Amino acid sequence: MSTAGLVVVGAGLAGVRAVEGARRSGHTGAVTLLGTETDAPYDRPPLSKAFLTESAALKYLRTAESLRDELDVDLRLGETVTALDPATRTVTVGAQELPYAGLVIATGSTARRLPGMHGPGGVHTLRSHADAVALRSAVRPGSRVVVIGAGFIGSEFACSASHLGAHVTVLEAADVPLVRAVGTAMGEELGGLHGRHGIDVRCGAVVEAVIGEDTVEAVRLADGQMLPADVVLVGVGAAPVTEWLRGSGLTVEDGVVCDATLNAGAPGVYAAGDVARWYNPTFDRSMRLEHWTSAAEQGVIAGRNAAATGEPVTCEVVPYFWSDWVTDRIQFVGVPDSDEVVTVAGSAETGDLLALYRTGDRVTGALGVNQRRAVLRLRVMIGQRADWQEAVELARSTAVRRS
Amino acid sequence: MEVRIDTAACVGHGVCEALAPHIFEVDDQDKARLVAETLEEADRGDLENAVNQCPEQALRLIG
Repeated sequence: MSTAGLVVVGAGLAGVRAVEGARRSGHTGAVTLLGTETDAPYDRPPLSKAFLTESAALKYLRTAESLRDELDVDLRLGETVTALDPATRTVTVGAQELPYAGLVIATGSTARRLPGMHGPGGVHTLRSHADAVALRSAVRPGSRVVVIGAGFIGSEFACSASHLGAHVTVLEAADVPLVRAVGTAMGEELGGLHGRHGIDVRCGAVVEAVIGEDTVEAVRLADGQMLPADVVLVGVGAAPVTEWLRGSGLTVEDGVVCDATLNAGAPGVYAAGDVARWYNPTFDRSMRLEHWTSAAEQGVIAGRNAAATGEPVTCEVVPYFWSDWVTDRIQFVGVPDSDEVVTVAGSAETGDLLALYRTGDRVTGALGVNQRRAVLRLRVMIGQRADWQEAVELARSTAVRRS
Repeated sequence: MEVRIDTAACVGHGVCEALAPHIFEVDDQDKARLVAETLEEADRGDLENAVNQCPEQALRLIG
């Protein structure tokens, strides 16, 4: 009779890092990793970029063999967990009640949909391998592509589709793109980059309907304008996958609410990745992130803490994300809401923007376009809770200037 | 113990440098390189973190 071990629900980046974190911390008991998708854990960022433009192969985070043989994991792909009962310490998988000693919730997020607009063929979202395969075969040279939402997924896909020879229009309901990600001033600044790449972005464009019976024909805007379309991508954000936790007693508020150790409020239960809303000590507040690096960082800590090989450790994260738009690399570190945003160097237009975000007398964020070196230095400073003036000086001395 | 950097995969995110500035540095070509002359057993934790958190999976720890 085997004893209950570590169960990790969700086989994406956070789930894989949780398994690795548990093993590295010395956990020798059983480990079960469950994933709804049938692919071995794979890397998502390329799906909107090289996977489309270069027909790149799926990039695995770890193969099934590596998980089974090197990490001794019971890998169960294509299996969905439907319920959690913290009182009996079990999760429900099909007809099975699977016991756990430690649990990591890493179910990630799912692409949000627009009610009533996903009926006809040719309307897509982009999150999974299957989504990317469908888009790869749908976008052809000369295709008329309409992207709903000028966020990062929409922007990256627009760049890729344009690269493939499609005619791309991006529609954004807000007056400024990327406000949630980088704030108003810098959202406007970055929005200007698309023009440089030959992509038509229309802000304040509210979509009223997607027209077409079997296949999509056009997108109708609230002002009556019709945009003919062969392919529509709905890129309006992601929602944490928490439906299965209904009735578990865990607190869910746009993500599973966790403390600084990623504990979800029940003994042995931790969360990591897109699904986790945790208290981040670095910024003294709770947040939910949908970034690659934070999923990796949280995964390691949640796995270690759930395996209970030592005292729980806290998870301090300086958020970091990047987005590649044709040849421009946009990078953001920290948090976007601040008292002031100061442009230290360049502009998005000239491809050398560096801006700093101030909260009180601390530097709490930085945005760069092709400013890799400065941005990563600033990431370290933000983690050290560095002084504003010190950050401005560092930014001035490390920024690259193109003009 | 040895670290291999796949410079074709590396695009200079600098996550490794942020995690272990005494071991890694991103150079002017936006590629990570080693600044540590020797790797000590005490560095293993930092190295494992850097390997696992590299967004391009460009680092490998051997031994």
